Amino acid sequence: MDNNISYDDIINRDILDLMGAQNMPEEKKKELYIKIIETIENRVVSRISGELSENDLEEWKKLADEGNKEKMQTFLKSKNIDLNQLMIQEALFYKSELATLSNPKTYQER
Amino acid sequence: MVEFGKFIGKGVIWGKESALSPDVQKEQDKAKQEVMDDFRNQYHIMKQDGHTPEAVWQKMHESLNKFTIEKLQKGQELTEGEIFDLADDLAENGLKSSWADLKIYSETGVTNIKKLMKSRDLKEIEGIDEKTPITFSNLPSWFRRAFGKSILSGSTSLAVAAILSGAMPVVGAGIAGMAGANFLIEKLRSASEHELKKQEVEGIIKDIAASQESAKKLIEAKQNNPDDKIAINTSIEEMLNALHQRSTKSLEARQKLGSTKHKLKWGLASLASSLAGAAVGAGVYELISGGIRGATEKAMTEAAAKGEEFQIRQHAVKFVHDAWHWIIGQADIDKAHQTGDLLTGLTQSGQRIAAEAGFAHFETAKTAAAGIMNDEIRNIIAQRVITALKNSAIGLISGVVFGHTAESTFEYAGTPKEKKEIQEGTAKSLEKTGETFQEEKKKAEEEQAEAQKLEEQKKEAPTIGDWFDLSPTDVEENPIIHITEIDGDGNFVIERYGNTDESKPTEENVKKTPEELQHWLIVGDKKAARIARKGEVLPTHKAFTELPGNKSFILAIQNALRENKHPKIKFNTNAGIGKAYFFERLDDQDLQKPIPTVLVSYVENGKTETETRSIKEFFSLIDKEKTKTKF
Repeated sequence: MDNNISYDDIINRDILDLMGAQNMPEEKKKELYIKIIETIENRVVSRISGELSENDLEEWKKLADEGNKEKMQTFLKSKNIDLNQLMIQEALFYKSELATLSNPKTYQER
Repeated sequence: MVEFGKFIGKGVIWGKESALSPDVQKEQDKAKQEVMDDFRNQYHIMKQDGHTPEAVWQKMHESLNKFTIEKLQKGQELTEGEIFDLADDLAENGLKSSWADLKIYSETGVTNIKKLMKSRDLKEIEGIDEKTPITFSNLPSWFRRAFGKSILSGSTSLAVAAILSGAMPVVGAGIAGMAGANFLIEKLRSASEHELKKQEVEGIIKDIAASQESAKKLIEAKQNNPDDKIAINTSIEEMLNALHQRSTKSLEARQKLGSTKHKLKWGLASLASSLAGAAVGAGVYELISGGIRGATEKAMTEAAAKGEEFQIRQHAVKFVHDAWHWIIGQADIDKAHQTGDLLTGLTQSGQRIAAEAGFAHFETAKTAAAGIMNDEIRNIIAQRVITALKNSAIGLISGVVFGHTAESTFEYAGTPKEKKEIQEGTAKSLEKTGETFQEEKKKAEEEQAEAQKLEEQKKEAPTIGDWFDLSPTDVEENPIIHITEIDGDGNFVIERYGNTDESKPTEENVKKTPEELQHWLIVGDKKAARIARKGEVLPTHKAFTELPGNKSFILAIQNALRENKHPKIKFNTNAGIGKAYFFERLDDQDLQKPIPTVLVSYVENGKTETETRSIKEFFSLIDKEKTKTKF
């Protein structure tokens, strides 16, 4: 892979391609995409949990038990938590992280 | 930058020394005295030269921090004042701070981490030793531009919180561990406003070690066996698995952390389960597997299907928000400050990235923003935008431009009237943006439908190979391709001409309708073409598909043969007279079948010659003629 990763690359290129995967079977790629997404979700959950107080989490638990998604979304909004935004942010960060860690040049520079 | 007076006040902090050995203490005192002497000398010199106290402070601040960092690198304990200075420097100056040159090399970093762990009564951590390359991250320039401000924002809070809590090495390691260390930084910041819990410190360091270790294997695979695709792919898979496992364990650890508080544990568990799959809605899959543009298009399509215009706007704002991160990172603040206009400070590449990042309507946004800027509160807004840029308040910008997040991110301190005007202006611009998205989307759909229709028509039409029984290879090698390059620069013309034996185009003939034109095909250069087609010259690839009256060159011949007429192909050099060829079918007149053989006739010096040739030979003949006449 080219040692110089650009922001364009991070935004528009396949992460596995950025990491240097070659001729990886589609099924395997899909499996890894899912793994990546789960990692991102874990990170988002951690971030959100850090922004919620224990009382908030208690309230969240009640809403989750009710299963009312609309109320749950409203609750997050009331705490200034934009779930989609967090997801995209963490996805970009993770993508950047993976690309950087996988690149011999940027890895050495770290 | 810290004010001069603030620095003077800090002098007393030096008195709060920790217990050091007498020798070390003496050495430090001596060094500080040298710094202070240097400061005094420079202060007087600079003051005499007319420098401001701030400039003097800036100069000395650099020296002091350099001194402090050297202590840190030596593994010496810092005073509260020194810690505060470093944190302050980082907060104020970001990557231009003294920290930018900081390198906590492996040995020192590990020593410090171990020391920290020991001080917190933690066990040794597996997977981290002197060989683990934990260093201060020398972030690639692109990354600084893209995320520098947001990272610094997190780092700043982290630095203040973590440094004051005594976790200095973790700061360096945290930044070093992951270029996109936002996760760890956020985690540290959010979890430790005043104090880091030992489980969290442990988790963070494990995360760092895991990412470093897993990446190291991949790097080794790439460097040792660059052609071993299997080994590289396997390493990638292992790396992703390791990071996934770490993130899961971190989350579990966090849940266990709340085990003593029942509600925290259950709150987290329900949060995790409720958010599962949320990435799909946000377009994360598209983002990691391809591009942000794909994610935008997906969201737009889904929103349009539901008739949710607001969702489109919301999504647009979201991506614009990200795009603005980049733009602002590149913005020429000085220029913006001089002109009082944010937009003049934006670079072209920033605009381009914004467009590519899914914000296809940058110009619209500029117009909308300019509209706001031009009203009576323009200067107020501009100044606040510039201030926000300086403070890295990214969200404010998208709020100003789009209004969507204005209330939540833009804490406007103007009069109620001004505030109302801003809200109305941003709402209007938002409305306009949403409408433009719809219009653009409709236009794109129409263009796509048209392209698809043309593609289908093209599939139905016989190809050169179909009609003349040529294989793809034959087509490539066949002289017919050469015919298309007769003028030497990629242009060529095929035109049906009148059903007379006129050897050259005339004004009278070109006025005939396609129906009146019969089965002559004229091939000539640009000049001939202009006469024949009133100046229209078709590019090569269009000549076969866009001939007026004939859908294609092939169809022209096909039609002529169907009508049992003799299509003729005429070469015309510089509007002069060349040879005329025509051919007719000699097979069983089954028009659906290819033409294996044709009767080729040509006129030369007033005499008609006729030969039977295969279609390939026929075109070879043409090719020879082309060469001979030096088209």
